[in-house]
Amino acid sequence: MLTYILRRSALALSVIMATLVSAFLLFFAGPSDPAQAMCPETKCNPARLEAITKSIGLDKPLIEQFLTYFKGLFVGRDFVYAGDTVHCGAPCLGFSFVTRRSVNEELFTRFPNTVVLALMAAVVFVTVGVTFGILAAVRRGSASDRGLVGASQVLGSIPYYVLALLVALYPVILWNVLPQYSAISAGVGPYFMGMLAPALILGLVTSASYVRYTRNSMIETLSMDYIRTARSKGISERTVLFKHGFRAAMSPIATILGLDIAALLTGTLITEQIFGVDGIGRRGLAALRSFDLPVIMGTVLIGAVVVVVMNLVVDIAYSFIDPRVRLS
Amino acid sequence: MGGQIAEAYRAHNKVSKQVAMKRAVEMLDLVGIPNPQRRANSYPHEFSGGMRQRAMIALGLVNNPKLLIADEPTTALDVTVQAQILDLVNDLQKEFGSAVILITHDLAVVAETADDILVMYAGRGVEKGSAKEVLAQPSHPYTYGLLQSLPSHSEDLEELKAIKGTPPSLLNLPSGCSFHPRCEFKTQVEGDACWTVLPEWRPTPGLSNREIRCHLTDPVATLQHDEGVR
Amino acid sequence: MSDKTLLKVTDLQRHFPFREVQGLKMVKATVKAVDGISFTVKEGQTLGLVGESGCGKSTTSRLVTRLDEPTGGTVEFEGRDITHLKEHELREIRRNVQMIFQDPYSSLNPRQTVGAILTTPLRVHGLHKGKEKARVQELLALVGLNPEHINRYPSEFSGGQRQRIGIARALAVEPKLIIADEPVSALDVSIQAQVMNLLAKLRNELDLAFIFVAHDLGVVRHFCDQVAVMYLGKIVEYGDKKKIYEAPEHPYTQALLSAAPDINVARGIAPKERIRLVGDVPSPIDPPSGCRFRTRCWKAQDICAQQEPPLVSATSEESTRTFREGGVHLQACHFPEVKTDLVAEVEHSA
Repeated sequence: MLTYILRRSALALSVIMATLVSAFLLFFAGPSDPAQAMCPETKCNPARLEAITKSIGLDKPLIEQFLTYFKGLFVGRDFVYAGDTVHCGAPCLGFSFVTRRSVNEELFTRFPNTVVLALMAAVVFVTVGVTFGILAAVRRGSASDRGLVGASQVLGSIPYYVLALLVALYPVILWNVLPQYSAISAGVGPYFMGMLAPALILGLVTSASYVRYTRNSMIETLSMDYIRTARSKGISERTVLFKHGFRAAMSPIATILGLDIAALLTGTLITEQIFGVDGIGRRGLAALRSFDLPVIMGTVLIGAVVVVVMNLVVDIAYSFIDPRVRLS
Repeated sequence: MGGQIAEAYRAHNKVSKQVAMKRAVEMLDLVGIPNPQRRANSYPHEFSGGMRQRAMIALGLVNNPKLLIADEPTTALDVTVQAQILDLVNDLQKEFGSAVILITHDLAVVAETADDILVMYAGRGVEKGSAKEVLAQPSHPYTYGLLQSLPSHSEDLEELKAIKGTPPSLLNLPSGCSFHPRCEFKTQVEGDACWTVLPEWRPTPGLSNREIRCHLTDPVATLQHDEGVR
Repeated sequence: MSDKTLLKVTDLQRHFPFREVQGLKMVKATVKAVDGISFTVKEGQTLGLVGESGCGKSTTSRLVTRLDEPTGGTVEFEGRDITHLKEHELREIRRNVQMIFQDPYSSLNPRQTVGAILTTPLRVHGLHKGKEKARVQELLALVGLNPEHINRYPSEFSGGQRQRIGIARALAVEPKLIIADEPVSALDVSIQAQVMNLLAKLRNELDLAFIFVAHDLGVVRHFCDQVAVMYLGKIVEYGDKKKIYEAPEHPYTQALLSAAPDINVARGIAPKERIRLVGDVPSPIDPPSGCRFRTRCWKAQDICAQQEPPLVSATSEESTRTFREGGVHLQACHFPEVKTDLVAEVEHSA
């Protein structure tokens, strides 16, 4: 088990490295020109443009830029800004071109907001999706099954941003049933209450697909011969469904869940934007608009780490769910 | 594996998990699984095909059932393992005194294991009697046709006599006797009974302890005559 | 049957290497699916390959059709070495050697009509140019299907009929050798005899040679001239079917025959002797040393673990060389012994 985790971690590290290199090449060697974006339109001239380029270090050869970035990640680096030297400790993600603040600070203060939103949404869609999915599978073909499947299809077919906008508009802004987002600095209670609206809508919409995943997986499991065997023992239907059926049906769900949570953690872009949640998705979007390369790189790196870690978690979880899976 | 057997035992006996597990180990031992104490803690995927079927039999017998239904118990197994399992079922049946219903498509397996036989076609029984007698002297055209079509590893046959046509869809059963579209003896029945009337169970004329669902007046003579012609 | 050798297989081997992780190390392991087998098939001859799961019979059939490439030994077709031919060089072999598969449900493309399925091989090999449709209808009639059903899809046919389509597809290119891999075992019992009879009829009319792979000993006895019994990637006994079924010399063949249930028991004719093996077939990943059957054999002695018994004649000094010429009875056991009481003796009145 331990050796497995070690080996997987080594593999994970190389995946992250590959992501790092390709993202760096894509953004820094690409056609984007952050200096142009930072140069005030009315007062921009070649000299000023050059000064900006120099101040953000884009005048250096690409390989040097990369080595600097790389060094920052592992040992930290120093920045000279307006005559002052600022030290940025490892893992240093650089300094934002735009805000002139450390990317670590920019992102790590916002990441928890995304995590809270994602996890709250996950609680909603796992509870709702799995419960109704099992219900639909057990009562397969009944009116409640058709109702649940129909509802999940309706929910799944409306564009998400429309639903999210409606929720943001009516219950939150117009009716004031649910509070608006407020930063944690304004109090823990209001912070979590403010997360409720975005988490609920994100969770509910995602749960539509979980109803269908769970239903299909459960139906497939219940058609297995070993379920017939369990029934033939004369144990209660409850035991058959939960002890023999549910656990097996959950294996494929665990995989999707891991990847979905990873996807949410890398930024619930639309939700954050619509509800004004100050998460990394929203920050990344802003960075993209202004060619703020270090911040973009930072979000990409965090995303890569999250995806790789979640994959590992799923694989380990699998070995607990299914004894046939041996981690080696 | 032991847990699954113990679960079945506990469903019908108020005993602790430990007692049930002990019983499961006994059962695994009884069906010839070596090292049962250790194997009780193994998962099914760690068993070979034959061992899995043995464990399945242990599970079926753990509550001393009066009737054991074995649905194609050896179809997925290799021939040499099939022989072991069939021997085991025979031995255990003697020990436990359970009745066994063996569901199979393999007439040779029936010949070697069963006391009685019920031959089914398209959802209904067509012939019943003592297994050995029915297989030695079938009196329903379907049973007869099946036996004629079987190649044997103990004799050389010139040509297999196949039953023509295919089994009907259960959604759309033929009228009258379900077998009539494939039966070559229907012309020997007077009138159109085979096409219109579903035959009832009746004793086979001339044979004791035998029943068929067929309109032939003297099926034994008809089939014997046919075999002579071949 | 003429004396011309169609297919000659020498020391054929297919090992599937794979890597297994043990702790931090990668350990190389090998599945020895087929491990040095030799046989020949002459024009118009039918060779049966029998054995239990893992014995390598299906792998062998894929190797001689070159759907898979051997890792050792040679396959010669009409004197030409085809062991390592490239894909584009195999065209002629594909024409002369065809396969019939076990599962008539999954081996036909459900999105193609029967006409399309049967026309493709004609096009590929440029046969019956311009008259493809007539040829396809002729083929359908040949296998007992209605030639007017040319535009139907496989799903519109029953299992037995689909297997007939599979047979027609194999026959389309007028092959000399057909490899039939369990061609009837997926079919309803009452349909098996129909397909067996069709294969026998086609064999006689078209003078086809067959390699017939099956686990059903009755079907093999009915259809084959020679039989090779395989166990864990090796041929353990080879000979005319009469020898194999009535006077087998290898303990595994004897056990296999003895284990097969026999319908004749119902007629009161039971075999005089019964052999029951213990345990299951070992894994081909790490087969037993020496004789592979020794772990289940009641005759096993020290020598069986140390030396691999060669496939030779038990009664004379005929060597494997003569075996490759065909027509003898060979077995691979250190202690061969003829047993004749394993199957019921059926007296034939006619």
